[in-house]
Amino acid sequence: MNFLRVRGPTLPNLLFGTRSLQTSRLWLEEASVAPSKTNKQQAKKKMLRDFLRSRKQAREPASNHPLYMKVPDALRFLRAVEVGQPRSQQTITLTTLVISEKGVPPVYGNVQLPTPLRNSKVVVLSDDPKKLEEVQDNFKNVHLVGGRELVDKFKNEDIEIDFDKVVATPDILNYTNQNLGKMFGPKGLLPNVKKGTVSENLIELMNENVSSMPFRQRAGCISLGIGKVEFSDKQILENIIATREAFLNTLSNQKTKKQSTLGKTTLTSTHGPGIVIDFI
Amino acid sequence: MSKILRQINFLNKISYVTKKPQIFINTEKYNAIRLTFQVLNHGGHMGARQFWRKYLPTLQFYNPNFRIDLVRIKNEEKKNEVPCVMEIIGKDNSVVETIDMKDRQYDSIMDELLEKLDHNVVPEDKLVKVGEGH
Repeated sequence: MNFLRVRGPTLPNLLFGTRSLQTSRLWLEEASVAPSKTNKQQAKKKMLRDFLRSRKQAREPASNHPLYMKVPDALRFLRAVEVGQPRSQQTITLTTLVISEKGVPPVYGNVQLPTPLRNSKVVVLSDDPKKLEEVQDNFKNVHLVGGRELVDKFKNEDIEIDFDKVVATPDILNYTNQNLGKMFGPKGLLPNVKKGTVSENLIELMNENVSSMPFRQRAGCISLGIGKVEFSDKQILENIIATREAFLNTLSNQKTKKQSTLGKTTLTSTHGPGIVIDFI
Repeated sequence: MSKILRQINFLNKISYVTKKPQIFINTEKYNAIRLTFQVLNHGGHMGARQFWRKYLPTLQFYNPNFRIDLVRIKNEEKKNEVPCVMEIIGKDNSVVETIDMKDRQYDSIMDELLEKLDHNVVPEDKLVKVGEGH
């Protein structure tokens, strides 16, 4: 027996209010496929309005914001929130809004923090004793410094390998590769031109690699860990100032016609609230 | 409730609303407080965890340089007996007072701490209230 199916109001549809005719849905789909000219213009206007509003807000002083606090007060609250948390989860983060027009490339760069979050242990290898002395004078937290005699010590396993990075000058590179290739290679410690751990100028190399932290604009803001809860107020303020200088320096070097500007800046911790602070 | 109002309330909970731990601890007598309890609640450790969550932020806020250590021990299989105690540590790093926190509510733990600890209540004019000017 054949049943004829009729599309029309059925009992369950009537009871539960489902519409059997789907005209409105079809109309909506059509509208989303081909937006009208006025819709496009409206969206464009809205974007411009939002941009102008956020730029106006960025020019206002931070103290107008209801959540504004001075940095020491903000830190007092953040330290209170983080009480009892493990040290690895007590990072203080600075987030800055970046107001840029459409099509402007994202802001990125490096900051060298006066008090870094983690002291990485670095070994410096060079045949030139003058360069090594220079490194020792400039970087007091450098782990080990030496020439071929240090390489021999590593080879004979006189020194424990408990460091994070090895940088070297090109003159000692061959000797290092021959003697320490098998030992350092698998651990990723061997100095390498491609990695950017080999250069004649060791100071520049140390600045680029060791204590600097990269930052990059993502989703309209730059976010950067600038300290731990146990840092003193002075250390965190110094880090904030260094970050500010690095941000402004990067903005001034932007290769666009319309420069981006920095907006509201908040200080927060891993479990804490975001507190607005003075930054620009 | 707006985001800003919610945050102001959150900050005020730390600095103004929670009254019991608004004290200045006598730092000439004590070095630190150390709490030891389980990560999970079972075995009567819930009060200790609640005490940490509800009262310790305020205590730290009004005593910013006072050390508060937490030791949270993992005991998921319930095999071991984990202590649930608070130790008040004196200037010579010895334990001066011990408070048993097992099977107790956070409020009664706080009351006993106030009894055993030499402290001064924070006067009204030194309390911090967020969002007064707005």
